[in-house]
Amino acid sequence: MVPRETDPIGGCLFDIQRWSTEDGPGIRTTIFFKGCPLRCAWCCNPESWSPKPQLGFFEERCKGCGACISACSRGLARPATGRLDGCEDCGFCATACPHGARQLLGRWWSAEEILAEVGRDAIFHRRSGGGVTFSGGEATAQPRLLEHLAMEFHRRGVHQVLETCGHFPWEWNAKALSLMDLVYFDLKHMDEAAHERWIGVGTDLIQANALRIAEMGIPMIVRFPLIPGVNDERKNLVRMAVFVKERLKAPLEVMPFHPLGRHKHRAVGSDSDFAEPAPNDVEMVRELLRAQGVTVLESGPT
Amino acid sequence: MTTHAAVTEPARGAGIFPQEGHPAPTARIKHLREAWKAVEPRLCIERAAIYTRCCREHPGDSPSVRSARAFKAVCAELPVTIYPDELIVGNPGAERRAGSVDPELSWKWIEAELEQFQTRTQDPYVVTEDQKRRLREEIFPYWQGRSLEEAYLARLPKETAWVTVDTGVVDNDSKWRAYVGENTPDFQDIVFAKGFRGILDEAKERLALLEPMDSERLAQMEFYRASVLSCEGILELGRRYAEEAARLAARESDPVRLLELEHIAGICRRVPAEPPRDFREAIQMVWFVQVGRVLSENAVALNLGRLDQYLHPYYVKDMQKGSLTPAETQELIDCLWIKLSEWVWAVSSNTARFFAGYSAFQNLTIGGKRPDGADGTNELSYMCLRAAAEVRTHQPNLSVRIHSDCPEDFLQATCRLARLGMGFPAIHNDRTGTAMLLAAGLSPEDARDWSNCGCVVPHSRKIGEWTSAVNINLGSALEFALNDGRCRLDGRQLGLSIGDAASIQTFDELKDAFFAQLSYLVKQASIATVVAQQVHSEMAPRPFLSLLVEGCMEKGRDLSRGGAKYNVGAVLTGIGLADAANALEAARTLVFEQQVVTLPELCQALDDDWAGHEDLRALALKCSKYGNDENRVDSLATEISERYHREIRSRKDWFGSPFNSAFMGISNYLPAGSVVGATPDGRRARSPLTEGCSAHAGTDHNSPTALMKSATRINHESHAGGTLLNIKFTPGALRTDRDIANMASLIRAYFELGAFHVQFNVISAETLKAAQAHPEEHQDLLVRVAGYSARFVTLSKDVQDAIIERTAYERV
Ligand code: SF4
Ligand code: SF4
Repeated sequence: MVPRETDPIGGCLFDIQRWSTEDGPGIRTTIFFKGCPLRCAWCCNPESWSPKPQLGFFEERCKGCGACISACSRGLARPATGRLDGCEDCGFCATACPHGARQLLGRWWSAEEILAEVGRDAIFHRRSGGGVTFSGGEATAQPRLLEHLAMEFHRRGVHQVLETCGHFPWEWNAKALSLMDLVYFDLKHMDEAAHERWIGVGTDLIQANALRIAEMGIPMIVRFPLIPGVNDERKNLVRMAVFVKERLKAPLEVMPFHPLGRHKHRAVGSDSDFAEPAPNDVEMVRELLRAQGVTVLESGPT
Repeated sequence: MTTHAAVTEPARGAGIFPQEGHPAPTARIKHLREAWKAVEPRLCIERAAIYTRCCREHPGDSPSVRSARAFKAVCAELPVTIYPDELIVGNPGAERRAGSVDPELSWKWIEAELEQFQTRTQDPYVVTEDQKRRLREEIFPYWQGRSLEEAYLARLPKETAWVTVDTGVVDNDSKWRAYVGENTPDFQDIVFAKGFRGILDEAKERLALLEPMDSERLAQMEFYRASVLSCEGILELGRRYAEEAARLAARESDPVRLLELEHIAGICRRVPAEPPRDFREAIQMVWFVQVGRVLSENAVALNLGRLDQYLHPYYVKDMQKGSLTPAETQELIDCLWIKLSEWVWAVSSNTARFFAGYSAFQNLTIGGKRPDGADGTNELSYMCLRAAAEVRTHQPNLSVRIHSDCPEDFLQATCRLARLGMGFPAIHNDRTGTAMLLAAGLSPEDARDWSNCGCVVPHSRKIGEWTSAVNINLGSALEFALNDGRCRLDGRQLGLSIGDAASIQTFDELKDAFFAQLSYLVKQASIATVVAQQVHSEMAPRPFLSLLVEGCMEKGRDLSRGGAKYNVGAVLTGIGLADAANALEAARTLVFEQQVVTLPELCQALDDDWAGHEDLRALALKCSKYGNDENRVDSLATEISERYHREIRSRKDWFGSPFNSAFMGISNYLPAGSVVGATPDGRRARSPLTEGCSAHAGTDHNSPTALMKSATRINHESHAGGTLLNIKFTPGALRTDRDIANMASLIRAYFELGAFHVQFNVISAETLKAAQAHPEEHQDLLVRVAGYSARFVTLSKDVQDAIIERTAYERV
């Protein structure tokens, strides 16, 4: 849906996190946009998929007090039970729940609010060479907000990083991208069919966008989520190496899958069951990519 | 998020310098450390016995001469021992890890607690039956009716005594049950420049010029007589150690140790009498002065000042001559670290709760600007960081001064030391420390040359000051405001009777009631301090310490009577700033805004310690809490701190200097909490309050940056008694070089915001719980209790629990 010019600028965010130190250089504030066009089965933030606020249920916190029951006009909320069909994600039950078992995940933020929240840590950003990181969900799925924020932060001299899955209409995001100081670009699989199977979309748009970013000369780091049984076979690794090295000319970071998102999957009633790769296997993958001439970054983001 | 969180890799070296591995002390240091660990803290009564005998034999002496004569006798008679492997020699007790008691100050608590010393939970001491007998038969009877404690209590106005003596509401027990301590020797301009023989000569010359013509000159003559005796005492101590070293050398079969002992004998023949000529003499001089100070008063915060500054010229000279190597220098500094850990400050069980962990708060400050404004960070600054990492003892209290132009290497090494999880160093903002002392009246050069006192008090070798005169419980002030001046736990009327909860109609009235109660407590605290200072000036002169501070010799006046170049106002420390702000905020939200409960109903819940009011408590806990960069409650904390400051500055101490405010902590927030009932913020009765400017444990859920923003809403510069912020990190958040760089930036930004101090507790809750369950396996674990480090396993369970509870910023 193309936004109209008259809409107030703002959008649905999952969270804004201060003291974020893994998503780019220095001390950063990370803006988690809500909504993502992809549905990676191993995603560690499934609550960021839906573009709207959404009821989450954290089972282990439920004390069975029943405070939620009368709060729900649709008669859906009850102890020890998560989101049910017909739920409007109105969040009334979450407000009533005294124990934080029911929570409304995400809310609408105006651009002004976002700028102010990020600005709170401006001195820490400046001191550390940090800045702001657009993450999600998928920031490019809210192009008007992203562009507005990118221009405002640019004006303030804030270092900007975008984390993207790469699946977005180029022309809606070209301006915002041109203002980025660094892009983390996810590449998950090189094989069209496998990509379709695990992620739900093909590879064309993603690879084309990656090439455009490379052409524009924006510093880019490719992030490769290593998921055993999904994308760790040699053929895929070699193809990826060639694409990253020959075409993108970008360094790459291997991100071994970790199961920390599992409880969040349960919270929104989806399922995820992938194994963590063994440290040795991760090293082997890194070695293989290096052997192909790819610059593989040692640890997390730099 | 479509990507996966980055997995951080372990740091390359576990040491404090990126290229190095684990800190590895020399074999000598390992042996000394093992010997230190093998001994349990014990009581030493030699000093008390000699002191008592001396006073008995010279009943007509003036207090200063009496004290100096006793000091000299102690120096001449205390057993002299040089332990194997030692390079720096001298002991302030008859045995290793011994703590002395000063019956002339207070003996009642010793008598009352004598049987529990060995068994009490916090900081026990070994005490023998023979020691108990001698104390009871020879020592206590003499001091009956003669101690400072008795005089103080006799003179304290009844009302003040009612509010301040052992109530936990206003507490200054360490100022009448113990000597003051809180002193930093002037090595640069006095001790190293003159040597004690020089000081002795100067005192004699000044004495010779005086005639006993009036009361002032009489007092000066007494002062100089005491100075002469004190110098003779320390000279005698040095001579005895020289003799002992020579005696041991004569019997030594190991040729290497023989040379060492001969060298030690030579050094002790030179210092403390003469100015030191090289690094080894200088560092031995430092230790002799420390021994002298401990023997003259068993007190807290006998600081070492800026060791890296005053030893550096000797280091440079030795390097140029080639007479010393960096490795030898490191080993000597390590030896000093062991020595500083070897004596213990013997305190009452009550004081031990306030100052837990056998810590004597001997602060040692490194880094920072020189008096001329240039960066003073040097090789020795780095060696001190390394010593802390290698030796891993609970003393000294290492403080680091950081300024905007300080080398990044130094700051990062500081962060790496903090990462080791021992709780130090305490990291200070150079500029704020200077600003605090400028405001206290120091010249720009002297203010720039500040060093730390005790835990986090900006101090100077030119200052006479009671840096921790009283603790004032802000939680009690809040409680009194809601309860007509009565303690919720036992109903005692310790505050003003100006109305109970039912009489309060608006939030402003509640705030006014709180400030009225606070003002009353400040008044009582100031009275208690002035009386204590007066009694000290009459009965507890400090002849040896007066030799070490500029101004005393010149004026012929003791430190306890205002002899120092600068007399800075005594510090009244507020405890529970966050708790008071949170409680007011919760009352405002629940009672006056949301109106879910009336003030009397809320007070009923507090009386019941929330039992049966769990829903209300859940709402109270949800209210905005200080430490999350939320204006509503943070502005309350700022307002309280400003009012507290103004209240305190409007009163003057015995020296005529306006009092200073502070929000710092020892472990004082624990006993302070134990006398406060449940509070409107959801806190339960008797649970800990909050130290310094920190957030209440577990309530700073946002981020360290948010906590720092909250904490810098407070104007640190105006609280010249020091401010403290405690942040707990788990080791997981500080693994990589990047983490360290970010930590360094975090500190720089925090200081740019105007803060004074920050310290990091880098520890995992799991480790701590394991240590609690199996103390024997975690003897080494050092944590920062509040303003200082202690071995975790030596802390009482409630202190341990409080540390475990503090928020950990885990990155998941
Ligand atoms: S979010 Fe709204 S509709 Fe859904 S369960 Fe809660 S109250 Fe009912
Ligand atoms: S209100 Fe919350 S805790 Fe109570 S039953 Fe409902 S979900 Fe569980």
